[in-house]
Formats: sequence, C-alpha cells, structure tokens
Amino acid sequence: MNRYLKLLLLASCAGFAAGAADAKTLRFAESQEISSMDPHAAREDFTLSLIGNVYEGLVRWNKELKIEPALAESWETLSDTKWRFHLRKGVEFHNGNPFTADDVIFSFERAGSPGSPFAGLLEPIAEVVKVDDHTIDMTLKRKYALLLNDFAGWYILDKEFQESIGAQKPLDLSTNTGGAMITQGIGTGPFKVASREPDVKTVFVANDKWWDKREHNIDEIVYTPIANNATRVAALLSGEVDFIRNAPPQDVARIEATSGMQIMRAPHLRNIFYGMDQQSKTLPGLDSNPLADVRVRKAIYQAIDIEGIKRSIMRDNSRPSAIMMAPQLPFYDASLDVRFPYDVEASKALLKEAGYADGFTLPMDCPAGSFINDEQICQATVGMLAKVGIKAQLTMHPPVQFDTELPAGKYSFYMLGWAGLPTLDAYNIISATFHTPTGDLGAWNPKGYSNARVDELTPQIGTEYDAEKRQEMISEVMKLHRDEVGKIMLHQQFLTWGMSDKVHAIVPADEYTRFWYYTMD
Amino acid sequence: MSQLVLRLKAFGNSELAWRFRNSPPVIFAAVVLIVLVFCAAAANLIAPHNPFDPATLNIMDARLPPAWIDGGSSTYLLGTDEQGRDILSTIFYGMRVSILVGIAAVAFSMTIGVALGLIAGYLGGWVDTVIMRLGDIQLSFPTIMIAFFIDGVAKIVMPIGMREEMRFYVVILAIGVADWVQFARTVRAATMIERRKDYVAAARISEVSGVRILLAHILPNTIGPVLVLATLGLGVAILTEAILSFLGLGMPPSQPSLGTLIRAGNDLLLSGEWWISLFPGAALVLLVLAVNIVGDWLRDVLNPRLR
Amino acid sequence: MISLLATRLTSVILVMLVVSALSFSIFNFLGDPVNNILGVNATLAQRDELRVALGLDQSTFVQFWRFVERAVVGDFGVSYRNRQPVVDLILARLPATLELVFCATVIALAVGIPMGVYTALKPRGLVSRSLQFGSLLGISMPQFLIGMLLILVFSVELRWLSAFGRGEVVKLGWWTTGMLTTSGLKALIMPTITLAVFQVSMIMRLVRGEMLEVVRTDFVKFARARGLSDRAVYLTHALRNSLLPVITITGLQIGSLIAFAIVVEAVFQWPGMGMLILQAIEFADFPVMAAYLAFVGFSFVTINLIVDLIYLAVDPRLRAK
Repeated sequence: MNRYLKLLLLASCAGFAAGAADAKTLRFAESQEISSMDPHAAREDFTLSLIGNVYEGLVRWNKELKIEPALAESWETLSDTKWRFHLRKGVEFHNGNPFTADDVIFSFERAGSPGSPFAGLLEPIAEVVKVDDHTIDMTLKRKYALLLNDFAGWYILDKEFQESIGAQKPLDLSTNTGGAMITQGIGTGPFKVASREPDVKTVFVANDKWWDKREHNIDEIVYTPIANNATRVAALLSGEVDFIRNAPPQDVARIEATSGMQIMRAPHLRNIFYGMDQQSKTLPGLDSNPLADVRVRKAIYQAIDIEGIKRSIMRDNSRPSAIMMAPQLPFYDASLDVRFPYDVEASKALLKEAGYADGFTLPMDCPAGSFINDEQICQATVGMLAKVGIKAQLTMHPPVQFDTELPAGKYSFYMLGWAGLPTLDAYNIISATFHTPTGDLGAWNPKGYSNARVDELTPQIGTEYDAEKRQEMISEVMKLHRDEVGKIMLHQQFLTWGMSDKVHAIVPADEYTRFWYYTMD
Repeated sequence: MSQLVLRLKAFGNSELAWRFRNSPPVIFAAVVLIVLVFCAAAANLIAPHNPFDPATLNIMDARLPPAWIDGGSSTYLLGTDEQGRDILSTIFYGMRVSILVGIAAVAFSMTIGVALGLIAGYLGGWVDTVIMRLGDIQLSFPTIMIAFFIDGVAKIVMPIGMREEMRFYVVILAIGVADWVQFARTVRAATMIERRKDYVAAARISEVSGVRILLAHILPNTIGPVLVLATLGLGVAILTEAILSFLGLGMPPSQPSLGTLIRAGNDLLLSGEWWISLFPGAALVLLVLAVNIVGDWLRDVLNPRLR
Repeated sequence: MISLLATRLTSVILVMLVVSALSFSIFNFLGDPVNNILGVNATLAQRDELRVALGLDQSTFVQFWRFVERAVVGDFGVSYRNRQPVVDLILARLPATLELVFCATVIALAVGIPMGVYTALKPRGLVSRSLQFGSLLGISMPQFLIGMLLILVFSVELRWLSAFGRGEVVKLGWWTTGMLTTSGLKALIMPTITLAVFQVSMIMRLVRGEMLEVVRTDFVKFARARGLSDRAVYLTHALRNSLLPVITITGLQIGSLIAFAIVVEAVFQWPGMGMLILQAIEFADFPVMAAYLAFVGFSFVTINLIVDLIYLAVDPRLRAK
C-alpha cells in the first residue's frame, strides 16, 4: 500500500515536471457543464461556444464578430435561392480522415433530421447537392438573408467516424441512440477532445494538423464546471484555475487587486429589460390593465434609476440602453439609443394623467440566476416603483420554471434578457421579442408588444439582401418599439472575465471562447 | 394577584430555579436569548430603519461599510447591503422571520407528534403499529428531501402570485413535517406508562371519556420531555431553514430570514463586503447557540434519570 | 427475523412507490426540460415533437406507470442533462458521496467518542466545559457557512487546499477513489470537516449522555463494589454498554449525512449524488430526479434494516422477544 502510494506520487510528480517545462495548459472554469460532445444535440450557447474549438462550420465569426471563411473557402449566389460553396481542400479531421462534400451533406442531414434541435436552423434549406468532392450547391426554400450567420453555429462532422460509432443521428433522449458522443468527438477544429468525465473535467489538446495558421500557443485546455459563484472565484484567486468566464461583478475589484490576476471587460450582446402584458383586459388583482397604456409604461420606465442600478448593483459593469440592440451588432443605430430620462416627477405626472395617481399593485416575476445580478436588480426596481406609488409584488423563480412559464404567458411584468444569439442579427431579436405572438414568431413576447407596422417589416428584414434597405427597416422598427415603450429597457450587460495575467484572451460580445486566438506566457 | 405572587415565589424556591441560578453560562445564554427575541419581536419599534418599506430605500446608500470603518455612516451602524438596506435592521427583521419559522415549525411537529403519540400509546394495537411504522418511513427521509417535495407540491397547488406570500407556510410545513416522529415516540412511551397506572383505570371505570383522560391526565405528565424536545428542535428548525435558504428553498428575499440574508451575502464573501453576510451569520449562530444552551440545560435538569 | 425482513421489504417497496409517484406528480410543475434541450430559438412544433418523443405529453399516471415498468427491469431512462443512462450516472457519482460520508463518519466516531468519554468522566473540568461548549457551537452553525469560511482561509488566503472537486482519482473497476492520491486526499479534507462538524458534536453528546446514564446503573455499581478500578469500569463496562445507541444513531445518521452532503457538495463542487440531484432539479431532469429519490429511499430503508439487524446481533435481550 505504502509503496504503491509512493510510486504513484513519484509518477505524478514526474509527469508534472515534464509537463510544466514547456506545455501551456489553460485551466478554465465556468458555472455550466458542456451538455455533450455532440454538436447537433443541444442548441445552447455555452456548449456550442466551448466545442466550437473542436468542430468548425462552413464559416465562422472572427475576432471582430465578422463572418469569415472556415471550412468553405468561398461562396457565391447562383440565384436568390441557390448558393454554391467551395470547400477548403486539404483539411483533415482529427482522426486523419479528409474533409469532403460528403461530410457536409452528412452533417446537413444529421443536424436537419426531424427531432434534432438544429432542424429549425436548417429549415430554410431545401436540399444540398454535391457538385464534386469540394463543391456543393444549396437550394433554399425562400430568400433568406441570414444563411451565413446561421451556418457559423452549424458544425461539420466526419461521416465515416459518426458511422463507426453508431451516431448517425443526434443524441436522442427517448431511445438513447448516439450516446457514444457524450465523451468523444472528432472535428476539424484547432483543439481535439482528449478526455471527458461529465460534470468533473474535460480535457482538450491542440490539433497540430489544423488547416489554419496557429496564432495560439495553448497545448492543453482543462475545463472544470464549478457551479457555486464564490467557490469558482475562490478557485481563481487561489491559482487553481487560470480563467473564469463571468466573474460576478462584486468580485471584479477583488480579482483586479490580486497580484497576478486581471479582469478583461467587454460589452455583451445581451440587453436586459422588463417585458409586459399589454394585451390582457385586466391584470391579476386589478379591474384594468394599466400596462396597456403607453403612459403607464413610460412612467415605470422613468421611475427606474438606471444609473443607480449601474453603480450599486452592476458596479459600473453595464451600459444603460434604450433600444434592444447592442452596438456590437450590425445595423446598430446610435442615434436611436437615447433613453427617456430618470425622472420621478415626470413619472408621477404620467401616472396621474393615465388615471393611476394613487398607483396600483403590479405582480412582478423574475428569474433567479439567469442574468447578472437579476435578483438584486428586480429588488431594487420594487423600491423604485414604490416611490411613484406602484406596489410591485416580486416573485423569484428558478430559471427552468421561469423559462417555461414566461412563454406560456403566465407573467404580467417580467425580467428578460435577449442577445440575438446565435444569429447575431436584429432579425433574431425582432422576430422573437417584438413581433405579435403568432406561430413561431414572437415566442418570447407573450401577450406583449404588438404593432402592425413591426409585424409587416419583420419578415422583410429576414429576407432582404440589400444592406441599406435592411438598415432602414431595422431602424424604423427599433424606433417604434422604443417610442411606444414596447419593453422597459434596462441595460446592456458587460462581460467580466477573470484570469491570470499570464493569459491573453479576447473577449467577444457574443461570449464565445475562441481559444485559437488565446496565448499564454 | 397574591396567587400569582405565591406561585412565582414557589417557582423561585423550586429546584429548577435553584439550578438556574447556579449555572452562570446558562443565565448568560438565557439573557442573550431574551435580548435577541426582544429585538426580533420589537423589530418594527426599535430597528433604526424599516428595510422592507421599499419606498424608503435609497440605492445610493448601497454597500456602505459599518460605521466604525472609513466610508461608513453613523446612520447605518453595521453598514448596508446591495439594496441600501440597513444591515442591523435587516438582522432584526430577519431574526423575527427565523424565530417565527422555527417556532411555528416546532409547534406544528409538536402538535402532530403529541397527538399521534397519545393516540398510539393509548389505543395500542394496529393503530399503534401503523403510526409507528409511518414514523419509521418518515425518519428514513431527511428534512432536505422532504423540503424538496413539499416545495414542489406547493408549486402545483399555488397560483403564481401567491407563491411568494405562501412561502412562509411552505417552509414551516417542510421543516415541521420532518420532525413529528421524535415527539410521537416520546409521548407514546410516556402514555404507555401512564395508561397502566391506577388513576387511569379509575377514570375509565367512572366512564370518563378517552379524550378527557388523555388531555387532562396523561398529557400533563408528558410535558417535561416534550418541552425539552421542543427547545432543542427550535435550534434545529432555525438552522434547517438557513440551509434550505442556501439551497434556494427557504424564505424569499421579500421577507428574508437570517438564512436568506446569509445566502445573499454569501456571494459577496470574497468581494471585501464581509459585513453583508458575516453579521447575519453571527446573529444566526448566536441565536441558535443560545437556544441550544438553554435547551441542553433544560434536558439535563428535567431528565430525572440524570440526577 | 424473517418477519422483520418481510415487513421491511414491503415498506421498502411501498416507500419507493410512494416517493416516485409523488415525484412524478410534481415534475410537471418544476419546469419544462424541453426548453433546456432545444434552446430559446426552437419552434413550437419542435418543442411539441420532443415532448411527445420523451412522453411528456402523457398524463402523470401514464408517465409514472412507464417509469415503474422500466424501473423494474433496471432501466431508469436517460438523463436530459447529461444524456447518459441514469443508472450509469448514479453509479459514477455514488463513490464520491459515499467516500465523503465514510470519511465524515470515521472522523465523527474517532473524535466524537473519546471526547464524549472524556467529558463524561470529568464533567467539571475546564477542558470538558470547553468541549461541551464547542459541541454546542458545532450544532449551531450551518454547514455552508463553515464550508465557505474554510475555503476563504485555506484556499484563498493560505492557498493550501483546493476549493473544488475531488483532485486526482484512481479507478478501481467502476469505483473511483480519491484516497490513493495526495491531491485526492487533500481535496477530501475540507468537505469532510464541513460535513463532520455536526456529527462530531452529536456523537460526543450522545456518548457523554449514555455514559452518564450507564454509570448510574446497578451493574456498574456492582462492578465498582467488586473493587474494579474506575478506569476499568468506565472503559470496559460503561463504554461498551453505551455504544449500542451510538451504533444505532451513527447508522441512522448516514441517511442524513447523504442529505447534508448536498449542501457540502454544492459548496465544494464535489461531483457526487448531491450535486447530481441539485443539477437535475435546476434542469428539470426528471429521469435523474425520479431515480435518485427512489434510490435514496431504498438505501435509507436498507440502512435502517441493517442497523436493526446489528442491534439484534449485539443485544441478546431483543432476540428473546
């Protein structure tokens, strides 16, 4: 026993010494866990962000969040609904297999199969045809402006490998087919999956045969999920991990003050806002619906001391916003991003004008843990609304329950955040949260804002190829929504990534960890 | 009046009082407990601020350190939290919630436990078997599991707007349900002993109803051990509520208990704003400790076998 | 003996049925797992499709019946969150929790019993009084506070111990252990202490109480009268007789240790059963929740049974009944 232990110790020390000499290991921790290594099994940004280092799409987002060629070298439109992609030659999967048109077609069929979470993403595509080993033609069902944006989140798999492990279909939870991809995966990306123990540790190693020029110098990435905020920050402060995405705002100062640590900040795409039931005749407990009156919505807006929230709760890691579009998105119009001022008197006057001089009781629902300091912001809002006579009755919900009840229209006044991921375009925001709820549009605007002009422009924004016309339409919709207080906008969150100062990262607004741009001293 | 005086005098001369006077640590704990309970009960009178009147909060006063530290303000003796609430006042109010939850939960489990214990012990037979079997099963599920269950069930039966208001009762139920078995077992044992005594037989012959025998004759004889269990249970209940709060199953932030306050402050532990979680934490430990010391002493004194 | 086993087995089955039936009835109100699987951009049709595929469109009763049907043959379905068969998942997490509970129990006994004996023998000494006070403090502090303070001191300030995880683990068949590596042992220290504090206090108080009681019984008085030394009387007769309830309580406490491990695991990111259930609740991962609750119910009733059997073996008086 004792000898065994010593041997083991020796072995681990030796391994450590050898590894420490030159290998650069990035130890990374976040609150979530990667759902699986199957890139078609869940449309969830954290997993896609992390395994985006293993798999690649036809195109990818670069440092500046512009589309650039990845597995497709170039493309052209043969007509409005027909696209041709020229695939990159000489690309190898991690298992040495060559990347060809067959893999793209396989990945299209796999991700687009019924029941796959990506079926919706690939829905505009009617068919994919192989022209030769490195050329494919795609026929669309209709004009669609955001094809390339969507393709950045659709990753290509090796047909042969998938067939060899019996994972031709995305993980199916009802039958448990495709379970082999929980711990393994073969892509073309800059990092390979070395090992994975779900909920404990996932190790990636650099892919020496990557087709692109290697800017990074990281040999190994060790990912550990740590759910508890304080424990995660403690792990960074004690030097057990090098990098945590999302340092809580309250710990930013501490991390910055610790020698050898730094915080990298960047604005996030996500805007936080309050959504409102504007359609019901009455609100629970009232015999009218004050929120249907734009004056009341504006009164609530002006009662919120957004600078106070920014200073006290966000600790300056936010930017008060007036439109639901981050400046980092294309077609952002800065001239529209002007808030109604915080003005308690004006707010009271508006309430009086609308016939609610004595205020009213407002049920309010917030998620506990979906957004940065969501609970504190909601509590602070209750206090601010009380000063104009509105008695907000706050209920906090676990996120999973919140995300179920909100789209079902069970809330009257709720906090939500929207980033426009993974499309990175205003169309995603407008179609999900501005459009009158009908069918698949306006799914996150239950009983909410409704404007005929917005509904008319929404599909056009999705299909217009011409940039100038898109700009015009997007600005018009954003302005309408702002002036009619479709939502009560709060702020754009900032990303605060805590790391050892040995790490040189980039912090993109979509929060993706693109490790191929990282270096370590 | 004179009756009362006499009674008080009698109590003053009793062994209980004598033992109390001779245990300085217990006197100290009792004093602390009384002070804490007073602060909690009179929170709305003596707290320097009302932290739960949202209209009086000023977010610009958020996160002020305690008064004796640079940047602190004498208005807020122990500093303020992220919402600008006075920590001292939130502790008073939070303690009130914690104590109320604790007492109500213990009262709940005591009522059920004593009733079932009396019934089981008095009737015996299959009733006794069923009740005690039920107790065994119940014991195999720890409080946290039961709380998860009750929390889930509460979500089914309550409309969204009521969830927050009803939390108080849900938490009480979750904690209280878990604890009845101890009371039932103790009371059952005592009841079985009393049942065999002559006075019960006499009462039975004179056709006094069973309920009356139970309440008038047997119940008073079980009060001692029940009281001990209740006191010790109170400490456990307050602590359990704090743990449930940590897991997100306790009191909501709109009516925070000490546990809720600690949980909220927990995220700030590394940020240097230690007062937000440390003071409520200290208050909780002090409160539970005082309850436990008194309970412990009561047990030693009232347990005749230990004399 | 056989009738004891029979009644216990019936109650095991009963408990598990009741627990899973209850859990199924509350599942639908915890939230919809489909949201987490498909993401916010999924269409309504897609959501409905997945719901049908997972059987979530069925009534609670049908879902429950299906669960029981499959559970009988050992199939607990696939976790929505981890996408692994639930049984594999539970087996993978079990060693972490059991190791933690085992270490905490060993510490509780190793520290609690001597402390209990000492305070019973010298009830008026200063050390005894401090121990008594310490034990009261131990049962007056919530675990998560102890855990966070330990992390603050030993991880952040001193940088001695790891704030999270199990360290390096060694695989022994399907079992994983952290007790064969230095990092694994170091990782055990803080979670074990956090979990054990309450138990140490409790065992100490229990042993002290039992000792004081046994010392007053006749046979100890006789032993003394026979001229045995105090030391011999206490350590052989009194201690041995007071250990019986200690066994019972320690056994019963293993159940609540597994429950309190939820809190400790949450603080230290310990990849055990507690983390598993917390994450399952967060994700509305019904298969894991149902299987976990059934499993915990089963093990608790089994532990109770084992305790009873030990009791039977140790105390001949019970056998006569």
